[in-house]
Amino acid sequence: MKLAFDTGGTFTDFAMTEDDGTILLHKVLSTPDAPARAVLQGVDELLERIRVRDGAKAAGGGTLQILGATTVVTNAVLERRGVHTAFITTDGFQDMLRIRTEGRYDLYDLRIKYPDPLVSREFCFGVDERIAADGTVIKALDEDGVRTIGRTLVAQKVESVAVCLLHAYKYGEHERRIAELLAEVAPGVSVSLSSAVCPEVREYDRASTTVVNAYTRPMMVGHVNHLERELSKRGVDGQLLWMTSSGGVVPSSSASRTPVRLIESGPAAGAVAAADYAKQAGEVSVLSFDMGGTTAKLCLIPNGQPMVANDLEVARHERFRKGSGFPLKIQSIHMIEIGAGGGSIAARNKMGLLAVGPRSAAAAPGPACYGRGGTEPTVTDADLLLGYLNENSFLGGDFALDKRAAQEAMARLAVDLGISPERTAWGIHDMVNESMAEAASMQATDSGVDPRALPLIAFGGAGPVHAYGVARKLGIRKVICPLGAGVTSAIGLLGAPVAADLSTSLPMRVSAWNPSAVQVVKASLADQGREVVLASKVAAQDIRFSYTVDMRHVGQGYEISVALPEMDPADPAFVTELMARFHVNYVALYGRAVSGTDAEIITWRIRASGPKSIVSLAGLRGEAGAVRDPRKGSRPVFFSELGQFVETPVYDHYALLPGVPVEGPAIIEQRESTVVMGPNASASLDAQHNLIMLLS
Amino acid sequence: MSILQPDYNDPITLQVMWDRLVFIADQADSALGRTAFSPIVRENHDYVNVLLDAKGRALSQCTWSIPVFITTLPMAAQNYFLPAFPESSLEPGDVLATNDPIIGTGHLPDMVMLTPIFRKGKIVAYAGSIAHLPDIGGRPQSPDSTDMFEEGIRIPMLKLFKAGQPNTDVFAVIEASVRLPHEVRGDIQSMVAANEVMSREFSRFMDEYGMDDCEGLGEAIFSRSERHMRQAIAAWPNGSYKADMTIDGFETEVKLCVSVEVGDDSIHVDYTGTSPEVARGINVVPHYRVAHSVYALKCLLDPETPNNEGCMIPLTDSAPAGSILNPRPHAAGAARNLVGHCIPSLIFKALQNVVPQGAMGDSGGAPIWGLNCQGQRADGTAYGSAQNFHGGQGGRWSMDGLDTLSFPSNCRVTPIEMYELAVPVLTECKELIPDSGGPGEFRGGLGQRGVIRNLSDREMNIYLSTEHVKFPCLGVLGGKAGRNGAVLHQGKPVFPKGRIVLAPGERLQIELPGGGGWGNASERSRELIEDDLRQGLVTAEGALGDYGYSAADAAVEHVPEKATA
Repeated sequence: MKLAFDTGGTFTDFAMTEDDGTILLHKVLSTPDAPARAVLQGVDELLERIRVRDGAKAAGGGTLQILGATTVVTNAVLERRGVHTAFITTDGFQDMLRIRTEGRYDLYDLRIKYPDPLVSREFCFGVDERIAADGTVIKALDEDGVRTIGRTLVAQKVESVAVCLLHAYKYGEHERRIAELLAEVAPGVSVSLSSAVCPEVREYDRASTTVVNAYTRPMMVGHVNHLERELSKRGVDGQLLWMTSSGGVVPSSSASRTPVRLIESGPAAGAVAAADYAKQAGEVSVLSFDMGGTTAKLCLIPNGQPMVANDLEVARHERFRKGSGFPLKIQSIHMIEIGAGGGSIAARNKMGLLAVGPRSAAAAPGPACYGRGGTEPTVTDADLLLGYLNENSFLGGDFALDKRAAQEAMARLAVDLGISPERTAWGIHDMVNESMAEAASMQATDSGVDPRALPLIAFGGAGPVHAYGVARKLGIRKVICPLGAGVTSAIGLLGAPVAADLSTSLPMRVSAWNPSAVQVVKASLADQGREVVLASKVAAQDIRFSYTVDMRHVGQGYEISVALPEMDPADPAFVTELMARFHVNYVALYGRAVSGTDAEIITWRIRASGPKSIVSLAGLRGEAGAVRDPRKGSRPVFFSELGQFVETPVYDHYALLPGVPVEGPAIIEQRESTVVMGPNASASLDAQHNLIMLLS
Repeated sequence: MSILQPDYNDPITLQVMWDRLVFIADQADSALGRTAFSPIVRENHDYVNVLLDAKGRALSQCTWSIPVFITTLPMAAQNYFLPAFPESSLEPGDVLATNDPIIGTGHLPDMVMLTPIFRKGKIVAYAGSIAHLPDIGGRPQSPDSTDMFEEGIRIPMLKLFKAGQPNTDVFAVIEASVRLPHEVRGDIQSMVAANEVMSREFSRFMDEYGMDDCEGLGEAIFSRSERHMRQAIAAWPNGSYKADMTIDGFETEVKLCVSVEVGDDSIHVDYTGTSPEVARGINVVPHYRVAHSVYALKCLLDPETPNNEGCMIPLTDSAPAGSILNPRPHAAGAARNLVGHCIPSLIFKALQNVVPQGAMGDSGGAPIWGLNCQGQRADGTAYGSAQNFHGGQGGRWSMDGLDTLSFPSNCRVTPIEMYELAVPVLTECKELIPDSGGPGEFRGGLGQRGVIRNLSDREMNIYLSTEHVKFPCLGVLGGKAGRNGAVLHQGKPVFPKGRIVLAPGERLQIELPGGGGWGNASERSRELIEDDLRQGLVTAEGALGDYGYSAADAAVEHVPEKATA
């Protein structure tokens, strides 16, 4: 049996597969002050559900593998609730965290601001040592100086320390010696080394990553230990695995060592789920569209695999300004996050034009229609007034919406803009769709893919509401709205493979190819990867290793990813094949080759992974219940193609039968989300009961 | 999905279409950045993409921009390219280019490129880009040339591509004249490709909306932006607001004078009184000057509207002929940023009493300091790469200036590890200088100290571009000056500009200036002073000298039982 949980801002979602393939879904309110509480509550309730169903023959916890996606790491950084952290670097570079890259993220705003470094300047220490770019030790490590710093850390009650020395991406010996010395004089202090967390060239990015790791590590360790203790008390003797930002799961030991890799844990699980849905629907490449309360995530999934990028950014100022946060050099599923969700507030900007977001009403006060004191119109209010949502069937009817409050909020903005409330509501909905479409198009064209050719997989509370409009703007013909759209990330976790993504920097020119060095770096990466995967109880013979390198022409600053040929690096054909692959990828990305120039490898990467399992959603149909009339009624809904509100039929997704077509315009409701389908589109369920909408 | 006859006055339609124009410029940016070859384009983002209408007016620009490029590009189009190449002389596939300093940005490395976008046989718009090429021949980029001809080769306005075919003679001349032909050719091709992306995306956009031209859309954007700018100007009291600033210059100091003439709904900036041009590469051509005048005013008046031609219409400027801000043709200007970057600070100073909450102390990032290291390794191979450094931002109302910030330009710096892989130097430190931020109610950002050592066994030539060594960054509204910059060779102060020869093992130390303060230091809150002391951004002596703050007094006042500690 497997049980997956996804700790989110509002809800903790659960999905569970039993040995016979039955799938159970569950949702409990999150407990942000102690996230483990909601997890344990959900586990207890699910196990109780099975116990009640199966009676006395249920054998308690049994062998239950638990998989988690968590916001513990992200929230610790966003809310600055991490531990008291220090930073140790090469003497003369203590200000690295304040100096940053020296660029500005906004050209005209003289009042730009960056988040304060997670380590205050008085806790940034320099240690006397220096290793040059070629590995020459220019200055030996001052060990007494390190001991003195260690004693200061203890005296100052520092709980965790990040160590990042210059050129340690390749020459980590001084960092490792510092860890030994600190273990002697400051044994209670958690130590994160840049050479272990993120061995990549470019000191500020590496330091920033290591600091985020150090800042969140003791919390993650506490969270993991607490959960394991409590689960074992319940007789659950299985293993606890955690979703990383790159879409694989790792054991608790690894999650506790490098929590920074879990920063995009939840969204990554969503992308993995979308990839699973795509495979089940028989699609090769898809665009995943996950829209929730405050943000939306768009992810291109070519050939069934989400793309993994090598950097991202966290804690951006004003949330979404690119370049205003802490850079992280970790592998993460490449997606675009947009500051627009159901709670995004619409307002008149200084130019007298309509603007939506990035301010969000969040959960408190929430959209005006939540009736919790919100007075500014939000995307959810617009969707309600356009008839896309219903005041009585939101979250299965458990949560009544206040339509009048939405109308009042919309009317005020409409007067401000000098247009009708309907036009305003449509404008909000349409503008959000526009920004989603632009982001999707940007991500697709960045990767050389035509977005029109891709089906859109829509999930999250608001995804299916906006999917039709986004698809129209992009020229997309096919939209897939999966069953279980409300807990998609948890479902994704159930099928995620164990995977360790590791990297190291070792610049090497192709003209100065060194086969023995290549063997050493490959073997060292494989050893590290094997250790992580074996710890997840994957059999040694089931581990797969795949190697990629980041390459560029000598003199360039950006690299492209190339898979290493599976042959002996000493074989002359190896280099020929490597260069051929490099040129193919280069032309595919940039359209034009560069000839007569040497190429170089900067970073070497490995993915060591266990088997991937596909979760069949067949087991989920049990939730659908008995045969009943799928048509629930009708309501007036606005469609821009028709230029007016039209009486539109409303269907129950669970009661629809596969293959029976539904013609647009129509509304198809699930418990946690609603599919909007305009005229000139039709839909039907596939064999897995996912709704497939075709636009003409 | 085409919407017939879009209503440009509809507040939603216009916003959606406008956002799209910015997005199209960002797509071109992405294409240029990803395909470019040289680090200065890729790492430092020293390039822009601008979409212009059929009259050469700027419709939109990429989000990450350089102030001077975005303004000079439409000026180059309107004042030079369009008159020289009327529509009848152009056909699809033509690409126009020049690096003439007078037409473009004032120095030769910047290539200006313009690609006409055709629709039904007519030019409906232009895709434009400017990028700073890694080399352009002549002296390696440095302020010590005496005329333009020393600074590299000049490509007059010409068709770089004709009907899609490259002008191979021109490419041959360029490649024969520069030190890095592969990089230079690669970057130029990236610009061509980026303009193609912009053309293709803009044509698609016009298809979607069923447009035959973009006159209506352009008018809607320009008129709204212009009106908004005029309203912002109208909120300022009419008057002539003056300021002057003295900076190091080269051998002799340079005085910049400004009078900002605020009318009912327009502003003219007059630089009468400014020093004459010099026979060194720090002269500022008119386009470069105008760009900074307009940039500074937009920051104060309307930072939010996506920049376009309409924002610039109410703003004009002038400088006396023969002055350093309006030199004669062929004046040297490779390092024109050393003077030009100071213009925004000068304008802020003039307006400090008009918009005290918008004014900012002088910034130590204005200008960028550059260390261009050139030489040969032991094996005879050549190396050459410039490292940039920035001082502290000026203090702002209710906010201290940021430490070490690029302003008014917007260039990142090369990571130390990347630089040491490219050039045989050891960076011995790169750290903030405590007490360097100009004191004020809100102090200037801190400058930085950098020390580099020649690790090779041969001499290294370093071409230095610096400022504010003799004259510091001044404060506004009673704020005090930040600490001066400094350049030391083997521990001894040396002339801070031009070529310095570093023997093997020798050290060069540079100290970047701190930003000027905002408001009276006596008004600074005790909490901020104590926070600075705690973090070591201000020393105990600095706190006493600059703010009259004594830790002992504070201890007596706040924690009497520890007064003897």
